Amino acid sequence: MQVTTQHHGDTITITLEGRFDFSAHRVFRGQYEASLQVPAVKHVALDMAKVEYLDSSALGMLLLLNEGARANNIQVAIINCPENVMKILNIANFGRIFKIS
Amino acid sequence: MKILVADDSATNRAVLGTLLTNMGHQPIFAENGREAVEVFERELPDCILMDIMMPVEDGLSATRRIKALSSGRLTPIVMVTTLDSETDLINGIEAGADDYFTKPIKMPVVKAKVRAMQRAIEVQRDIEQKTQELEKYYYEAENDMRITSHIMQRMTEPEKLDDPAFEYWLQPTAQCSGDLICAARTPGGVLHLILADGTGHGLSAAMDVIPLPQIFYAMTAIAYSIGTIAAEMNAKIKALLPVDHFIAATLIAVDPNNQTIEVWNGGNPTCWILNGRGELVHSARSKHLPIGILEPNAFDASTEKVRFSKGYRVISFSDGLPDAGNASGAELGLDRILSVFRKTAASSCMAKLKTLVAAHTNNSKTHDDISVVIIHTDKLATWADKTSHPIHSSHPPALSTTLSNGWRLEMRLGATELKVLDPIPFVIDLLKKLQVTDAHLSSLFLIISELFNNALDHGLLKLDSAIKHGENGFENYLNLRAHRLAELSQDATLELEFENQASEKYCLLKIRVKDSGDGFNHQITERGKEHAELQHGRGISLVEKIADQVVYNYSGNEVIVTYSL
Repeated sequence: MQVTTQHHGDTITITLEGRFDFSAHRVFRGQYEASLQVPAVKHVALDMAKVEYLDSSALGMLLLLNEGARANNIQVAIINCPENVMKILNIANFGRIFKIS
Repeated sequence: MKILVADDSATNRAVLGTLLTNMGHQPIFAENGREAVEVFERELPDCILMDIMMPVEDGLSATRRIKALSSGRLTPIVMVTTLDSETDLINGIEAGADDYFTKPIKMPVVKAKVRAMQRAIEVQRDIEQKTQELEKYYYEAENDMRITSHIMQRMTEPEKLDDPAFEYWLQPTAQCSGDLICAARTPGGVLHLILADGTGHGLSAAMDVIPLPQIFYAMTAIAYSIGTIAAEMNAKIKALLPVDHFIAATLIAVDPNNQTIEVWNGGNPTCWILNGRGELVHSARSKHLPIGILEPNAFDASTEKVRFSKGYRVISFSDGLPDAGNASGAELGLDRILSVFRKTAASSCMAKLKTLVAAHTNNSKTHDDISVVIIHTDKLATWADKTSHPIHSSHPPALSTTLSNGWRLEMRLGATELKVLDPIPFVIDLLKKLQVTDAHLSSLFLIISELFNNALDHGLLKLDSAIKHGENGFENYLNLRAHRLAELSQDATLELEFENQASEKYCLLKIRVKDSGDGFNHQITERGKEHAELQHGRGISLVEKIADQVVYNYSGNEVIVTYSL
């Protein structure tokens, strides 16, 4: 999976591309941890438009991100979810934790 | 490095030996091929400089033998020859030599070649060490898997899965599965079943689900509801597992006496309820976050409940089933699974499902664990079946008088407690600890839960069982019940009293239940038994069958039941 970040105002957009599964653990964690440390950031948006696949360990990584974000008072939104990604997030009812669109 | 110099010329041995010593290596010597092989076996040098033309055995033959002896370990052999011919070079390489140089010996060339060999050896040693480490890790991982698998097997108590009321199928991808199926009956004969799927698969997923069986069995044994069990599991898993680990789970309760199916689904695929024709009549989709994510106070233990009739089946599976992929990555999908149930006879659905998955995946391993459960509601014995059965129509054999000193337990619950507490598991747990046998326990559970529910539903909440009839009647009843319970007046009370009286001749349990309501007309059930039995009054008439005596007070808000142990 490829992970890129873009900083704009108080928002950091993390764009994911490819298969979001356990093999993405290190690269994803590295990127979001760095993002959460950026001063004055209030929002993190995870752009899922180019994610082909998402498994339960990816859901686990989202929970890690959420915990890190909460500790820094940062809001996390999951945006541009393709249908298959949306389906998995819905089954897990992640809408109760994240803003998903 | 320890370097073997095999050369029949003493001068050459001396020249090369000095050079190697000056380079910081340790030279050892052989005067012909045979000696070279002997020294090799004895000294295990790191590298060999081998002359080709030697007496007794030439360098080519010795090279072949040494290479055959040193399988798996790299011992580079550098051919040293005066014959600067291509044939010689080819013969040498074919015999297994790694490099060569020609006489007369040029010091810088020898130095360079020895250094190159040293580099090759270092790389090889590094790989060897890493391979050994990998092998060690692999062995340890296998061993961990074996132990986890063993613990899992013991904890899931597979003998409890041997129940005619349901079929199950578990196909793990690794030696131990992150999918878990447990099933047990409550004292009241309700089938409880859990299908859980830990994050990922293999060892860590199996570790995730290990705490579940114990909670499940202990709480089912004393008749906790599946919602309460789910809440307890969530609290435990949240406390134990790291943030990124959680468990998708479906808990199902099938009550043959009240003909209800209750489902709590957090993160698993939709659980299907099918009618006798295999048609989908209810979809219990995932309404909750998986277990282990929310803090206990944020956890939602609410379940959905539906009534079943003849031929109903409950189907639950982990996402490994619909996600099972074929060679080109296409998933099996829900539609194909559902059509199996529509088109196949109930008894052969599981077999058909297995064939379908095998055909779709071309018998190759799936990337995730697969687990499937099919519950046949028809195969759950009801209380009516049991009491009509000759073995159960008389009381179970009298209990040894371990209860004989006599004890009394009195509970008084106010509105606040009634909204959050189900007191029955506490009582059942107490009776269990007082060595009441399972057969008595299930009779007592039926009596206590019937009296308690009557007092709460009819006495305090003033619900009329007639609401249950007709279209959506059951759902309306439950909604109204939830509503009235939430609005229950603060001065409402419900008393439960248990008194054990024993002598040498008898051992009794007196159960008294009193509510602060106006009294409900239990006599309707008495008068119109034939009607009532069919509908809502079945419970209390069953209580009359299995208890020694049932006495209501005049207004009907207090009942005393006597039961012989």
